[in-house]
Amino acid sequence: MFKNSFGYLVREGLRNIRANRQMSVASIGVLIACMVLIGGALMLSLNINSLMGYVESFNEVVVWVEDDLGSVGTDMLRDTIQDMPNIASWQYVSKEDALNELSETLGSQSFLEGFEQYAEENPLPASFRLKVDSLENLPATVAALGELPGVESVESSNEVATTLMGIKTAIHVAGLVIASILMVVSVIIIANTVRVTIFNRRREISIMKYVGATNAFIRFPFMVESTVIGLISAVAAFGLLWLGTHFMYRWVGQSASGWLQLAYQSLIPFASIAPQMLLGFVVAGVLFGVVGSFIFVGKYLRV
Amino acid sequence: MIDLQGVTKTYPSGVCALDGIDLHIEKGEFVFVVGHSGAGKSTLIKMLLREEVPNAGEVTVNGRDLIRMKQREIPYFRRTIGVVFQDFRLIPTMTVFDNVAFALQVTGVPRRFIRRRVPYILNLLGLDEKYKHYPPELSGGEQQRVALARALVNNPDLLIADEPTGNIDPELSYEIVELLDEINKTGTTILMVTHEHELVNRFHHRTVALEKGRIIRDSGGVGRV
Repeated sequence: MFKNSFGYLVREGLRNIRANRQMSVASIGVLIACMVLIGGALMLSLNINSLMGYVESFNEVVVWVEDDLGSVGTDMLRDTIQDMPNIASWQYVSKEDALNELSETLGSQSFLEGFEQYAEENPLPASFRLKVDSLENLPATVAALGELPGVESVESSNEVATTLMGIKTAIHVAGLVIASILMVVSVIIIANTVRVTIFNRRREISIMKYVGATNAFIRFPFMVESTVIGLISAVAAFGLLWLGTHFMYRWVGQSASGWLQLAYQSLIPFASIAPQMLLGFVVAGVLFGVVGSFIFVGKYLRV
Repeated sequence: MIDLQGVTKTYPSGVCALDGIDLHIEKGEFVFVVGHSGAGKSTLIKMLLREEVPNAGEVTVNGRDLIRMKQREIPYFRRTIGVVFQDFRLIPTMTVFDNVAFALQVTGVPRRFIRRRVPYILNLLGLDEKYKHYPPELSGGEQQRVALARALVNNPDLLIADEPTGNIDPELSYEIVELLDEINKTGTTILMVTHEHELVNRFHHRTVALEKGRIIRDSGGVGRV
């Protein structure tokens, strides 16, 4: 399209960034602020999710087996449990295992002596310890387990599960709402910034039209300008978030609070989402700028 | 070169800016258009630049029918005419050289041509020491000469000047019109809008007077060669 002018138009775009320094700096600042806010919100919600997942993994369900089930019945029960959906992992604890575990827990040799009389008649029931893949499925799974033949009773922290589920949903909804608000606000702010930038240069645009420049010729440098500003902002916002995350994580890791220590283990490493985030920033930054300037330059091209 | 027939322009606000204008300007002519503000001078220029389209009538400039011209043909049409304005309309962030070069850049000519042509035209207008300056650093007269250089760099057949001396000291105004006179002698048609009677009286050129959107006086008359 621009056989002799491509280089010129690219240089013009770059020159305009310098020539309109103030607006360029303002635009980059606005873009960085929007990206850091959205990116920060994203990091926060991902980490909370991961932390919730960590808490969820404590959802142990204990299925007590009837004492007179026998080995055949136990095998059948094991097969049934194995085939059930939503079971993440399971472990069979026989009567002997249970006794050993108990004596290990109690530890003292002298105390164990009292148990000798039970060597023949172990009072501890066998059990299955299993984990459900997700808290949502916990109540249904517990109910199903209770119906199985040979099951004496099922033990689980249903109440904790319900509470956790509630918190999780609340966080999800809050995260979505905050993200949507941030996005809408960002779009408005960015659109306004682009509009002001171009409004400031409407005279320049009309002069170009008088000299006989085509619309594409006028638009192209603006596109170059927006692309470069979008790229600079994306990289800067990415760097700031990286630094911010680094220091936040270090603070959490070094903190004395046991709870935060626990959280530290389930933090999402920044590097694991870095490529997607950088790509998202670059695409959003460039797209907003280019589409925005295309639209707003168009307003002043009707000369 | 310019041919207007029954050109009428009424703005949506109800103001009738041009009321049945017939005007014919031959190639090589130098024409002053005079009139009070509100007489229709600005609208006339807008018609010639295809910034506005009349409600009725025919407009032909440089052999092009402006009424039936498509939107995307306008830039190519504008490259065939040079325009200077009262307020210069230079791009403040571009150097003198770049402002003039811009008019060539839009046409897509090779860079080496631009590097030869722009200094030539700047020298011609006595701006050889101002290449690297920015418009705000120059005087009004200098800025208008830069604008003139930009208008002439494409070697247009027609030069339209909309009150080119309006923002310039009287002595320099005279210089600018003399410059236009020189350009006219090389064969370029010139249409200059002004309300400075002194200038009109000093340079004996065809004069068209507008009032309330009508031509009330034309010293040259239609079809004068």
